[in-house]
Amino acid sequence: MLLRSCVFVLGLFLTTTSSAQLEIQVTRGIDNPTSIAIAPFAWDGLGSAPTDFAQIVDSDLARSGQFSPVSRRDMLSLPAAREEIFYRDWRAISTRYLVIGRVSQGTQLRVEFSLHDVERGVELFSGQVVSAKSEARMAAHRVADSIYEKLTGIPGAFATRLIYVSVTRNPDGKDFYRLTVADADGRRPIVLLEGRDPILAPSWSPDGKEVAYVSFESSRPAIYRQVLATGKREQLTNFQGLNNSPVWSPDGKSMALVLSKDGSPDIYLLDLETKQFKRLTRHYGIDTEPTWMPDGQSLLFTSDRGGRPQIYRYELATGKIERVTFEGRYNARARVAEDGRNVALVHQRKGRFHIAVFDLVTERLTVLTETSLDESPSIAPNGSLVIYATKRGERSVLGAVAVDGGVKFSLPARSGSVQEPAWSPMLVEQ
Amino acid sequence: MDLPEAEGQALAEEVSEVQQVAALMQARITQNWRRPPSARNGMEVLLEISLVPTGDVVGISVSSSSGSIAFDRSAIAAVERVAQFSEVAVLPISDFERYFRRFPLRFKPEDLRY
Repeated sequence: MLLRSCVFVLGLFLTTTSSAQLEIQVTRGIDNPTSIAIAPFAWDGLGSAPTDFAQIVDSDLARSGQFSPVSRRDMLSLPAAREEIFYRDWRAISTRYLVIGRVSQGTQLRVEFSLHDVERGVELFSGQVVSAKSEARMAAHRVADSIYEKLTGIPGAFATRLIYVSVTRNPDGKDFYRLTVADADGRRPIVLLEGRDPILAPSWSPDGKEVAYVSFESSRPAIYRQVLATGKREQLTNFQGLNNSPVWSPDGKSMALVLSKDGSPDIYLLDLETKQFKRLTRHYGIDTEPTWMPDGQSLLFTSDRGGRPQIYRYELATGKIERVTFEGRYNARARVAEDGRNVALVHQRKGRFHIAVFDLVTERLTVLTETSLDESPSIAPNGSLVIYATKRGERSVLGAVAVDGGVKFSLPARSGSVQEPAWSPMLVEQ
Repeated sequence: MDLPEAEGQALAEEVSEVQQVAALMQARITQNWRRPPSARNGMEVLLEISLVPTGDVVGISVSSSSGSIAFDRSAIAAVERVAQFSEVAVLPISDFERYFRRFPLRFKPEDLRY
């Protein structure tokens, strides 16, 4: 028969097989956040628990934009062990996944947890996190990282830290600066350096143990490095003009930075061992805001060599420079995630500055924020969240936005302005 | 190969009505397909769906797995959520038998971030 011997293609989504069957193809869907319940973790130690572990996991997963945690109020039971789980209690409230946990304390904290598929009624995964007693919050973040990775295939970045500059106004009307490090959820801030002289452009060493920054404490801006644990500092530059934007290479051996000593701002490379400087860019325009690609082979930077600020790539081996961003008239302040693929940057659209993410693989630019004065983005090492500074009235506060899911939230604000956040790399367990 | 004109016309009409019904079915499944966070572009699962003439789904099986249980299950769940493809009820029974009594349904996302 004719029908059997001809192949019909009916639209893009239907194909016939040779026996005249129609195959329907579905290539799109709807993605609501996945519902997950994190039951309160049991505490086997003396006195009260050092923190609410389940609540930290809950908040981390909610902030990722990909999960919708069940409210504790809605939980019909509060299991802390496998034998206490009645899956029907969780199906009744339509949760897809369940996390239970138990925390014990000897010389260290031990958090045991397991992840369960409610629909199938099976345990998917169990794990444990061991930490110092003082690091209870970080232990909870590591549990969240584990759950996140199990369900998304992407490593979690909740057990990471932020560094930023906080500016307050003293009674005498002068600004006071504090270089501050905190957990990625904004908690446990610790002041590393403070004073009346501006502090700018903080950044992290690849091992997460040191930070670099620009300080105006001497007669002119200079770049310093500082060990977090000890506070030990070293001054790295002392040139005329701009000394700015220090960023460690992924292998920790050199630092890219911006100097204007030879005319216009250019990118230089400092060998941290030999203390030799090498000039990388030589354009009469402004070349600034370097950021490393994770393989250490190239840098992205902002340049106005084409007339207006755009992102360019500098290849270290060859000195070759090529333009990276082409959408819009202004793209600047790139920050590459450790995944080597997602780049947070500032993008101008219709006169307003937004935070956007540029995917180096698909070359797609996605605008993430709608407020008009957003700057200084920093991207989580797993490329999932972007933190940035945004104006709220007179002050600058830290906002964060999920790269998908559109979740937006701001970090607990202290008084004064918070600016120039930098997200730590993935941290080795401490 | 040339079709006699009348048969060609009937064929064109038959194809177009079936195509419309399939388009409706595809749209409904799309609206009900919630992908797991581990889903990636390029993953693919092929299901075989069995219907009765009212459009009720009476069978779902996996002909070819994506390799990810969560992904396969999300596809099955999408069909289960639709539960009834009432649009097939308008078709002549011969078309229903030929195209929709048992048919392949392929899930292959293209719109995911990764």
